[in-house]
Amino acid sequence: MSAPTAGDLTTLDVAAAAAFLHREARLLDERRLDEWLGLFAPDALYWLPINADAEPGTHRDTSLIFDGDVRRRERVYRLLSTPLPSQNPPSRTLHAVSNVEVEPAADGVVRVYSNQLVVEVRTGDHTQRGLGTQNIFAGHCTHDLVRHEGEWRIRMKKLVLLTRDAAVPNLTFML
Amino acid sequence: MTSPSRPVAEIDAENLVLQGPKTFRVHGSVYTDEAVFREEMQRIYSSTWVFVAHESQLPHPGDYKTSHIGLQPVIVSRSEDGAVHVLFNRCVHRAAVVCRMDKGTANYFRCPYHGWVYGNDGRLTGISQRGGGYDDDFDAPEGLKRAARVESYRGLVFASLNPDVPPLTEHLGNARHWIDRQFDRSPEGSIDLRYAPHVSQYEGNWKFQAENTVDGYHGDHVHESFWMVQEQFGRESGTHGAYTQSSVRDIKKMRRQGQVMGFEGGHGLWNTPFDPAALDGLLAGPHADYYQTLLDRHGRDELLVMLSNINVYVFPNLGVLHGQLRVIRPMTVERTEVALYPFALSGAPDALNEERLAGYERFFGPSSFGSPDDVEIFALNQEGLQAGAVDWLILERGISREKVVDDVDRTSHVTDETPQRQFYRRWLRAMGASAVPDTVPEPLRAQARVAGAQA
Repeated sequence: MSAPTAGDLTTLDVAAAAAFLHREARLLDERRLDEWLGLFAPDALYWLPINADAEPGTHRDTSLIFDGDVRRRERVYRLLSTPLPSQNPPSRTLHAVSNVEVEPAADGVVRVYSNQLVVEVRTGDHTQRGLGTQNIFAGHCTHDLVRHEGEWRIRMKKLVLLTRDAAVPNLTFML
Repeated sequence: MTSPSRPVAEIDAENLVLQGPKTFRVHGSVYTDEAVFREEMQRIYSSTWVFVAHESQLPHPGDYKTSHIGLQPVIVSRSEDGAVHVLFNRCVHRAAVVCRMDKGTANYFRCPYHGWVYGNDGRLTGISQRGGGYDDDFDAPEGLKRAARVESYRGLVFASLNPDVPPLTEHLGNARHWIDRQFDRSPEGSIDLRYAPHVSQYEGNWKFQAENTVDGYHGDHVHESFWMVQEQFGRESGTHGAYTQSSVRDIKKMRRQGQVMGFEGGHGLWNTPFDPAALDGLLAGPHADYYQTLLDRHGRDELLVMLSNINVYVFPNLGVLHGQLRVIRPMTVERTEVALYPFALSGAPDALNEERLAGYERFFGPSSFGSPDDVEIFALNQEGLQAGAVDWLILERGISREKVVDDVDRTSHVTDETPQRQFYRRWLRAMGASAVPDTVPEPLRAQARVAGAQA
């Protein structure tokens, strides 16, 4: 973890914020999803809106993902512990994070902006349709981070995909 | 290229479906043959009613949305006088589309190529640099070409390219009562498509989505993952989705109660019951007033039916189910787009509509816990069909126990392939099959194999 120094518990610098995002990317790519769940503060939201202008945290329009605490645990349980055709064979992913910026802290919340490129492929019998083709998902990401139990945790992760309101393929892997 | 209108069928549809007292098989080429697909676009999508929009998507004059009738792009537009027009999205001059947005509000549509202008009622209102360029007696078209017929049922707008198509209510037949039961869950009796749709495309034939919308046989297998999530988290997850507080075993048991129906027009129904004991809980719950209103209006017996799980498929391109309109758009013989429009119940409490949306999102959409597994299967189907050495798909489940009701519809056990068979009976009529054989002579099997080989 990018634990801040004892003298600075109110905000992160860009390097520390990037380190946090890189660690999240690694957990997702290595399917260490129980550890990924641990990055979130209680009452956190993991959100992929379709309407990018929707107010943060409100639920007044359709989302691709709108996961509170229970829904997030359901998602991880479904991926790791149930038989699901849409992930057989499972996706391999590569999360690349760039353009990290940190907004000054307000009310204990540090807002981190980044660009995220997720590259995904399912192999198995690559001769079959749907398998063996590499897909790219690009999006603008916002992480709201808060201090919780002595660590930085995610209060909200919002990922706005460029293709959010076009036809999107199977998105059952972790974005 | 084949011309768009051909008087002679390229295919012999009746050889593509085997029917007998205990036989119902569909030839694989029905899903893979480009000639069959072209024929479907002509004989089905250009001949019967096709769903194009819901009126709540065009609430005000000038509102429009784009849509399709089969492969053909249209604009559904509301003009100043409130009328709804279904217009082909093609400049009558040199064919460019005149509208590039999926929805919006516009006083006019202007072709970007040479600047011809059309009102939102489709009428041609301006030709750029007309003077001198065109003779005074130039035979100008009236405007954007319009669908031959437009009718709506409870806000569902359908269009047809066939001027002689029977009235829409006749087409919907008894399937419309099961649409009513879903829309009557609104205290105002109407739905509102205020939410963004989930749109996906899959590499498979459009009929897989049509068949699966009312398939009661696949759930135990394709959706086992969801039942496991529900067993593990159903209590914590609250009212989102069906089957709260149930084990996987109980869910499977519940899903074996109820019925399927196949309607004369090729439409289908999948219907599992609502537990009458749960009604008291709703009448004492957070939305008590809402449920009491429905109870007073419809009576207990009808309300219990209204609250059951109702999936309706409307031939050829619409589903009405689980708080959504599902629109199927064939693109090629092996590529299909499906748009899911979750809808709000007009006049219902905001909190209830939010719960419904959250429940919908849990099972439906490309990142959800249900529908991506269905879509994956459609691609598996199309992949398997490459093994053309196998002739037939078998749709015989429950063929001996289904019953005819109201002379024209059929009903059977909830896991039976009754709606799918009724779909193909309608499909055969539309595709011009002259007679429906009631036995399966060997020569016909041989012919069908030849038809398949030519594919």
